[in-house]
Amino acid sequence: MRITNNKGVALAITLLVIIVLITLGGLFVLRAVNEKNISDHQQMAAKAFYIAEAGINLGIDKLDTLINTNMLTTVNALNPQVLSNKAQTAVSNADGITFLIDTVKVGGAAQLTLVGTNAEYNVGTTAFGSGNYQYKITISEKSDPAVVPPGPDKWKLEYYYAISSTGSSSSETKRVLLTGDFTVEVQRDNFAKYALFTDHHGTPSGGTVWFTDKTNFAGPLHTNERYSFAFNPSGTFDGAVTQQLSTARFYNNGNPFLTNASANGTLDVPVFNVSYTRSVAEIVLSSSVQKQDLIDQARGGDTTPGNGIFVANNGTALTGGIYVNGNATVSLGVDGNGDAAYTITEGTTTKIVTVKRASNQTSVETVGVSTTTYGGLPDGVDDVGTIIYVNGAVNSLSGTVQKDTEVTVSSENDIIITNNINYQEYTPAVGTPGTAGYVPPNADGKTNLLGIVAWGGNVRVGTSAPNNISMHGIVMARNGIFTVDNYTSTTVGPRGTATLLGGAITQFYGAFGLFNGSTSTQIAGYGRNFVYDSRTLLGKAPPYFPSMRAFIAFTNDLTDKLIWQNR
Amino acid sequence: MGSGNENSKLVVLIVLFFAVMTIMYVTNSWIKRELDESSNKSAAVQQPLVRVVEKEKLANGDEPVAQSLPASSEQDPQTQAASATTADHQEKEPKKVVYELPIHEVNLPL
Repeated sequence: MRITNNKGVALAITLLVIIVLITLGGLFVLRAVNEKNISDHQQMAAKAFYIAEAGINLGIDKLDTLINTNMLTTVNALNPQVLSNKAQTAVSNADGITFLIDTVKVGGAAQLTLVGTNAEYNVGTTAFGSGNYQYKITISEKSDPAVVPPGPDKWKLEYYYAISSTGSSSSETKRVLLTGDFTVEVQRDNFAKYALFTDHHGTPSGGTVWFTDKTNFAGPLHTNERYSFAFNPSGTFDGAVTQQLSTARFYNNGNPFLTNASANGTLDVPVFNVSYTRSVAEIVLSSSVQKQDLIDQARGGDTTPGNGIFVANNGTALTGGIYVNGNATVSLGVDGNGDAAYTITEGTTTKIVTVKRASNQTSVETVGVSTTTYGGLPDGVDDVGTIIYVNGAVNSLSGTVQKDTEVTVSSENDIIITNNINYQEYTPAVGTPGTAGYVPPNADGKTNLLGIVAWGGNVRVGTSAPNNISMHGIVMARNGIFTVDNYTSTTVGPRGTATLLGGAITQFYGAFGLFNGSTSTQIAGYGRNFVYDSRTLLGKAPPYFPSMRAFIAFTNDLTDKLIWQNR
Repeated sequence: MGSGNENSKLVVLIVLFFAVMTIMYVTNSWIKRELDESSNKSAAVQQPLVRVVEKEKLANGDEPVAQSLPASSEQDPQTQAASATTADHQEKEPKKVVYELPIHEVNLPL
């Protein structure tokens, strides 16, 4: 058959093409919708995972808060004897979990729950972005609580933890599990953490020593009295400042007054970069470490009478620290081998004590006489660090603290700093104190640490000390002041700024210099730049440095290991 | 020149053609918009919801605070309460001023 009428073919072809195009378009639309669904699914899954991970981050932050804030606060506020009994019970019962539950509290309310033999902290479903998370911290004992030698006031409690976090977004749910361990250390709180601590914030005779623009502090300050501020600015304070009394003293252009305020209009304006709190509780300047403890550590059982320099030994090995009977000069140094070398002179005798840490030996050279080498280090009876005790005055102290050394230089009477005392390893300051961008020096991550303790006298910066003196160490004058000799000498004039990396803890507040009462200009002595040693916040202190009665608890080894994540 | 019937068919064809083209154009625009929106969302989800922190630094006092957290969640309520210094409250107390003797010395200790 022959088709002769082809009318309508164009219509048929066109309709066919349209059908094909619509089919293709439909397929394309279906594919796009499918892709979008997959994309939405992935998006929700990713959101859920990141929310779960956020839960983990918040969980480990919370764990840090539970120990280093909640537990620390509770332990610090507890009666020391009660805390000591709790810790001893934990040791004798081999039960660290109960101790944890008893001490991790906020306002008296326990934050952890005992579940089986573990302690748990739960955070329920919490909104986060477009989803929500929930996490649980489970803490278990890693080992039994133990007394840290030499004891008895220091304990160590080791734990494992696991943080399980679930994140949800729409219908998607993801889970992340993190585990790790940490050690809680419980010990007496230490005065070493202050940039400045005074029991009475004035001279022993009752005189006022003012904060001015030449007195700058980085780190915590506390006094059991009140501070006195002069001019604008009257000091810069990069740390929490507290005082027991409710009022501060303001210079007020020579017409001083006391008031409950943190500034006197625009006349006397201290710069508090963290906080200034008045009416806080008294912190008693008494210590569980006493002078006799340091003497016992230094003497190491040696009973040789009379004046001299004694490095306690049994003939072959050292048994204590370094003990000097009489007035002495002490030079801290580092010899050509990198070992700590202490040059001590008493009367006409000079001894050089070289601590060879690598070989665990100490050589004692009596200059001009002989040298004897002993086993061990002059680190006291309890091996806590180098201890030098002078049963008299230290008429000159200066030098460099060897990088691996923790040492306490202690005396019965005054200690006079005659030259710079620096750590061998530290990070220098950047900029000018009291100005924007100033970065104070620090010894973070370093070992070298010095304590300077005068039990019955003052710690003084001598007249021969250089301008802009640098002192690295934590100074304590238990019954005296930290001051500068001849600080009133306008003949000598201003000597720059005394920088202290470590802090000063004193009974009274000694003067460092003079300023003009009309212009605020420094006219004699030193300005102050006291910077606390941040290592002390986590319990680090020079050997046998006087501690407070109260306890602290902290962890500084919170490590983690991500063991599973449902990505 | 064709008949009136053929002209009608041509008109129908042309109308159909434009109708299909319009549908295709609208569909294409919708798909394009959906895909753009979807890819934008995907890009957004690639942004970390939390700031990655090295947890080892916690002991040094670093704050592992999620940047995208709402402000109220950034701090523990107790911490927030503690950070409101008592000095602030002290400033609101009525101030008592106790004057001391005027200072006549030219130079004062610092």
